[in-house]
Amino acid sequence: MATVKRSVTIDPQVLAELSPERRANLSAAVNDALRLLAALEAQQSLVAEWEAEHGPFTEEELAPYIEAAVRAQSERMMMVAEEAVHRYRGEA
Amino acid sequence: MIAAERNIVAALRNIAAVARAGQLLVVPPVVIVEARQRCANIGAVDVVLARLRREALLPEDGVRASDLLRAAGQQAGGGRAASARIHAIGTADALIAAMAERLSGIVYSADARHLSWLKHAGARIVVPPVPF
Repeated sequence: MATVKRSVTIDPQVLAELSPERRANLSAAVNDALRLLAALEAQQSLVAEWEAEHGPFTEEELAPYIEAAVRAQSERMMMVAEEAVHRYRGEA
Repeated sequence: MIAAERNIVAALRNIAAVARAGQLLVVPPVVIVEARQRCANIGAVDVVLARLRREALLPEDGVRASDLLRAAGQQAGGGRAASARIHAIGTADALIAAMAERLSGIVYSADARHLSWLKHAGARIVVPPVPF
C-alpha cells in the first residue's frame, strides 16, 4: 500500500488517553481513525446527494427507522453490559 | 449491517436514520451478492453499495457461522427438522450473524426470521424490526 507523509499536531491529552499499543504505532491508529471518518462521510454524502436530487426525508419518514436504530443500540449496550456482569461473576 | 434491500428508498431512509444515530453500516461480500441478486434496479443498488463500508469475512466467521447453524438445527429438534432449519437459514445469513457478532452486533434486515433463529441459537446480535 502506498503511503504519504503528513505532519500533524495532536492534542497531548488525546494521545495520553490512547492505549500503549495504539501509541506504539501511531500511524496505524491515525489510519484507522481516518478510515472510520471517511466511511462515515461517504455514508452521509450518499444520503445528502439523494436528498438533493429527490428532496429531503421528512421526520415522519425517518422516525420508525431512527427509533429502530436507537432501540437496537440500547439493546446492544444492555447485551454487552450483561455479558460483562457474567464475566465479572465468573459465569459462562 | 444492512442485510437486504429490495426498496432503495426504504434502504436510504434506513441509512439516513443510522447516520443520524451515529452508526456506520458495514457491508460484507454476501450482502453484496444478495442485494444485487434480489434487486429490481441493479444500477441503483450499486450506487448505494459503492458508498457503504465494505468489510471482508474472516475464516473465523465461517467457523462461527457453522456453529450457529448447528445450534439452530438442534433447536429445531434434530434430524430432518434440523436439516430443514439449517437449509432455510442458509449460509449467507449465518455468515452475516457471525460477522455482526464481531463488529457492532446489530443487523438490519428486511426479513429478520432467519436471523432471529440464529439469535435464539446463541448469536450475540440485535435484529431490530426495520420497515423495509
